[in-house]
Amino acid sequence: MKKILLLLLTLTLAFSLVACGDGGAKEGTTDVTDFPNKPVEVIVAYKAGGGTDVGARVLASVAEDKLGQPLVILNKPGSDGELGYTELAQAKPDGYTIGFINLPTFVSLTLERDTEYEIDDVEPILNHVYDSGVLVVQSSSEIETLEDFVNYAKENPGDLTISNNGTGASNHIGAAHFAYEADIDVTHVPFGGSTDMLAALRGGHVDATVAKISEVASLEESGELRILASFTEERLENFPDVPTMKEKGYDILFGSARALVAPKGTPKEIIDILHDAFKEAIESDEHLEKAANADLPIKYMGPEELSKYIEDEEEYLKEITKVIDLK
Amino acid sequence: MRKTNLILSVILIAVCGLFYLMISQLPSEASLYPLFVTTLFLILSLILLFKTYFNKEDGEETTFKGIELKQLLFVIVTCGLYVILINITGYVLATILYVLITLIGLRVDKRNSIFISIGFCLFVYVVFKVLLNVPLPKGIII
Amino acid sequence: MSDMLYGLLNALTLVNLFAALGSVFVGIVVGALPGLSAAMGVALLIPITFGMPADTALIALAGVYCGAMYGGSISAILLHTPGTSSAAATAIDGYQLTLQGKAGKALATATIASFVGGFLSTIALYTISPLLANLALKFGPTEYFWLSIFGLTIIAGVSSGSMLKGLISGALGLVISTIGMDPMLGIPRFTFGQNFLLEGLPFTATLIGLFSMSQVLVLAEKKIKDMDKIKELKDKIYLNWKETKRILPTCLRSTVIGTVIGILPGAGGTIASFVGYNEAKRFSKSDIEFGKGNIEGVAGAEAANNAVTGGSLIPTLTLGIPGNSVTAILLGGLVIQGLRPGPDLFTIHGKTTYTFFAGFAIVNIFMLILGLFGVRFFAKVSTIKDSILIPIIFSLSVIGSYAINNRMSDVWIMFIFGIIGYFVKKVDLNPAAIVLALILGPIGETGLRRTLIMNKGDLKSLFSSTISWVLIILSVLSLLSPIFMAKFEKKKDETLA
Repeated sequence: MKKILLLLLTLTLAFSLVACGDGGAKEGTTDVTDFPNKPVEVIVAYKAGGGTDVGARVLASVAEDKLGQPLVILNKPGSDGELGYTELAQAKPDGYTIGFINLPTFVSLTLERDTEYEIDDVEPILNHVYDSGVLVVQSSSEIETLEDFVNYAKENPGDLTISNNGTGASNHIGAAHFAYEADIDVTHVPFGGSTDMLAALRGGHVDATVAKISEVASLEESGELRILASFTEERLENFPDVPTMKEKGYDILFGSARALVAPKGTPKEIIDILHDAFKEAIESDEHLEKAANADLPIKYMGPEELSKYIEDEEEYLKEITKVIDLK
Repeated sequence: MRKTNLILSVILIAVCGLFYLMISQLPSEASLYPLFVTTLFLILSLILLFKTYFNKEDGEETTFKGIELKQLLFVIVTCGLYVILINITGYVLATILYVLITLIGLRVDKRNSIFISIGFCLFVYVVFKVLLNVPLPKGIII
Repeated sequence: MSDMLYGLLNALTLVNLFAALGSVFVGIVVGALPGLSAAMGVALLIPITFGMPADTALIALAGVYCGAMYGGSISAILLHTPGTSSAAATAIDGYQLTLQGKAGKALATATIASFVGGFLSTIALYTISPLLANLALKFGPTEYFWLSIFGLTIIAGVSSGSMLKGLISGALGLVISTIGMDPMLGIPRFTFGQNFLLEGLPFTATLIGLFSMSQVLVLAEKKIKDMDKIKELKDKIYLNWKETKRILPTCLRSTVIGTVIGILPGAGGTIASFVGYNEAKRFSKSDIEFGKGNIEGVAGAEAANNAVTGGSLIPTLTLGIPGNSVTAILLGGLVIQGLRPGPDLFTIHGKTTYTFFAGFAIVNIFMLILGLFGVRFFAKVSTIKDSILIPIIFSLSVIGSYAINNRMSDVWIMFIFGIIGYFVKKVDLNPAAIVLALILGPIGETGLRRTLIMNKGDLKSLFSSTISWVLIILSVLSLLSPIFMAKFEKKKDETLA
């Protein structure tokens, strides 16, 4: 018994020391001049191993060196990301807590329901990934071109099925907007997520899907799927033969972005330090190589451009949900 | 078991009623599937009700016989208070208190109770927080 | 072939062996603690593996995955608090054995069955991956609908007491599974205005409540002097040769079941273990003992849920379609390591992939050794006084339900379902049937509604594929056999009923 008591006492002592040490380290100052003087926490509002998480970790591993302090990824999944976004929005604005947001989800959540955060609760740092939307079919499909698709849909209204990643989710909006612009009647089939949505196309259970280019690039290269069109301003760099929706007469730009933001009220100087470090990381060869391996389409946007993008996105979503029916 | 089953089926039917009430507020397209499963649930509950009602053979009522009601309520209440306390003091402190009080309430001798509550808390802290890096619930104070 | 040999040798290097051993150990601990699932274990490990070479990282992830799948059975058997949902079926017979003082026997059975399931599914991974992978794609909405119907027919089989109450439990599970956003229309159903209920009841918290906290209350109603009675281990720890031979056919059958179900995205370990349990019961010569402590029941469930590990990796690696939440996270780990799923894994990255496979097999061997070595110690847990277990199990339940989403609302859900679960047990309803329906309900609903949307409401489309018909026939068989069995039993012990 005595031995156990001794052991417990030692453990308690060790425990309190650890606790104190921990507390001491966290007492960082908000002095701007020596930022950062302790590890920076990066909130990811989705599960470890998910798309957002992979992107965050790839960038963080390079940016740590540029920033001079470790970046600690914290996964805070739940309620489609609302949980993590709320935590990010409410964090202390000292630069030691930053996080990734997904667009349009970050914006669309606030439009669909009464979220606990507001869009302007965050301060943009920079954009990291931009994943363009594409319309894809199986390569064995009779539909060879976008014109085929539209013609078939006009002749057989409601027959073409398009899978998406959930009612009202990003790909559903893209598909519905296209159907609206092309004035065709298609059937939208919601699935639980983009993996399921894509599996339904690959198994031939639906005729087409609107996906993100990173999800289908390797499947197009292996000859399993065919990309009919991209929802981009210009043709995709890696797929110069794929036409854009715009050149076919449907003026739709659509894709998802992942950006780094800080809680509102973070000092400008600190935002600048973070921005410069992450920008350098994004443009480094090491990062670009890792990103290419993980199928991450990188697109840098500075704070002003990103801020404008978020505003435009909000504007677009408000407008489009008025004209298209997402039910 | 007869009395238990009768009460059970009445409660289950009441649950069905509650769900029917909520279904009636849903748009018709969204209410179809919940309506289907709730009706299935209702039918099964009604079968239980009638089966029990017409089966006069009464087995011995053993369901809640011989239970230590006070002790059970004590455990439920301490569990509830514990969860509330976590919101205030955070996991570690609340747990030491909760484990200690429960153990003493269940007549474990005091010295052992103190050892166990502190020892368990240390174990949890080391395994979860330090080794596995699982976040423990935080309270207002800590 | 040379890649395979290279992989085997590479997996046997000291670093990789150490990674396998360490990660299995961590996995077993994570799995055994109530509420910490395999998915969580893998998610916790991902950040650490980021700094490792690809092959070592993958072996470590495999170790945690397999270890946690097995570890769940330990607390299910000893405390009736399944560490992971896939061990819920193991608890049925495993805990009965513990009550009879045969905890060691149940643990040894679970260990051996887990090893057989895990190891043989690795061989499936080696040999027939590309062949089986397409099965994952053949399963469309219609097939998922029928799969869930087939799964629901098992409820009749897992109801050890009254079948009517088993069915009521299942229906209750289906009803509460409708809580949350309507999957097709995005309209909130029964959420009481709570945002956190939009994605449905938090599954893990509900499960911990129904199984672990309710168990705390069951212990709490006992008299103090009964609590303090030290339960003795009456049995020899390990299985004898005869018993091992008895569970072997069950293990093999469950391995096939687990591997196939593992391949299907979205199905997973819980369904596999229930199907494995049910089939073990149907084929057993001593099926009446099921629910009262039959080692075949433990083996049937455990071999199936560990066979899921290999099965679920098949579509993950070959198609990039993860079979469950664990492999979804694992897939992220692969991508971080620069390994893209698809045929390239077996050619360009063959060395890494086959090292991973060999590591997977080694992990299972370590699991067997650690498990058998540990049975003696684990079994001691069953001798701890109930009065001490009560606060400890509940406290762990709090962490488990909190840790998934880091929110206290989940803890309250656990608390509410703990009290519901207690009454469920008292009135002979079946918590296992509720859990099964909770998982299968959404699969069935979305499957049916997607099928109808895609075919403009034409019900005939439900009967258009071969796989659908196979599942329909399986459902009918599964539905009819317990009815016959029940009649047979009724004649046998009319008075006991």
